[in-house]
Amino acid sequence: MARMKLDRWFIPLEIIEIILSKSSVKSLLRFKTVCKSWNILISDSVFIKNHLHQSKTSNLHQNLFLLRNSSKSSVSEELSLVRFEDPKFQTVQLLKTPLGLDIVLSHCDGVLLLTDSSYRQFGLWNPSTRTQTTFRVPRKFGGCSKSYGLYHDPITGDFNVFVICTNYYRVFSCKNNAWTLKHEFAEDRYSCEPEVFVDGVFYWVKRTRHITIYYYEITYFDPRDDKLKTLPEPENTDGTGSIYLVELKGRLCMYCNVGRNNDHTKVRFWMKEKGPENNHWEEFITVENILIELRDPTRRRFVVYNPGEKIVKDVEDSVFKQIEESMHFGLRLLPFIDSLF
Amino acid sequence: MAAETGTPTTLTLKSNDDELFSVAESAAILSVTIRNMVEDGCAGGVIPLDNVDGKTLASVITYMNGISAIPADEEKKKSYRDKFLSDKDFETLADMVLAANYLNMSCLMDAVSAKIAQVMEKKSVGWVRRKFGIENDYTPEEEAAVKEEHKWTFEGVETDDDN
Repeated sequence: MARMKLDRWFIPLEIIEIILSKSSVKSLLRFKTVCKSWNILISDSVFIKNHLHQSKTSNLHQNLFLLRNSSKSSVSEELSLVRFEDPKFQTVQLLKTPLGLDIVLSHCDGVLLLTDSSYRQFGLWNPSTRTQTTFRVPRKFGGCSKSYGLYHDPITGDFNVFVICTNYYRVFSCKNNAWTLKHEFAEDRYSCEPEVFVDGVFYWVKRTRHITIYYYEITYFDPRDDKLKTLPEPENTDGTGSIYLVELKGRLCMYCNVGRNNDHTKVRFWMKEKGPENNHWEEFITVENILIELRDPTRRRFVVYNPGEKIVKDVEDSVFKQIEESMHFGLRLLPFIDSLF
Repeated sequence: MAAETGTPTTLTLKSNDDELFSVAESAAILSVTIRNMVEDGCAGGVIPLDNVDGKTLASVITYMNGISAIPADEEKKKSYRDKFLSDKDFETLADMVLAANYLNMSCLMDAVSAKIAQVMEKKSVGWVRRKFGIENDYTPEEEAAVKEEHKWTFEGVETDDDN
């Protein structure tokens, strides 16, 4: 009995690890000061991965987004952290982006890829830890860059920046602080915006014309074997006209108009299985009776925009909700992920 | 499932301070530790739980009964868990996390550890050391250096008036 009283507050480190994996990044950085073993634990790469997993799956951050602040002028070095509280977005905090890098190109595991209007200076910035690293594009690469993607390699732990250009593809490794030219494309790609970057792979829609009819094909560059490949579309799409790609919940999503006479009021979405090696599609949702212009693939929820009526709708688990428009939605809404990376 | 015999089986649990508790087997087997004992045929007599005191065990049994009375509705279970933990102080939560770990109850473990994390959210380093019984093993210089590196995370922290 006496022993129990003495040991009453002894919580073993494996339980402390479970508790801390559910704490916020701000608290964890402060708790590094508690003692050496907590500092070691919080800095450990396995712990950082577990914490990220908790952060992605918990309800706590489910409704937090980052939004480029556009209230004052067209150029702003601030991002707003906003919380979606049905049916409104509320600003929680303003975050100043580092070193005047005010354009968000891509994001992965809580880290944002930033640049400025020169597209020469780049930065990786984690708003949770408030840490950043910067790097530049060498002059010799020329200025034909088109699309950017940030990928966190789960095996090496390296953050890679992918840049795809009209006729080549290059990768920056943050670990090695070096650029590599990965591939030169023999043929000109025709890119239909937006190109989508998922799981370290760029997907785009290639359009070819045969007499008077256009044909659409999903093409991707697989960095694992440096080859251009065609991704088979879902079967029986019944689609008419163009197809479009977005990222949704970390997966590639394709949508097209399935209404008659191109009236754009009936749009169907498909989701591809996760990972570049799995090309299986499943039907996700069909949206009817609203004029759809897809604006914000938030990667967690799904915001569609009706330009005629100026309403934004949110799809989560196939349910439509109307959202009050309280800020400018022409800009991208990024999911906020609390991450120690 | 329980309709086979008509009368639900009741187990007797014994805390480490010798309190006895009766609980329906269907609720108690939320604990994998207890379920294993039942499956091994130890359920006939009294099940001794050497690492849980009576006060904590009473609370865990309240949770077992409450959560098993809710049908398979994750939303309702979640709101029950939130309400169940809402008025618990740190000491009670610490007892419960140790009990949930010993009893191998993953849903309670998840909920209690998330609640503890939430309680710690705005707490000072000193508060954490006291509550977890941790000795500061940094030299003053080392501590200052670690603190300096993450200075901004000390903004908005509650003042240290809790015992």
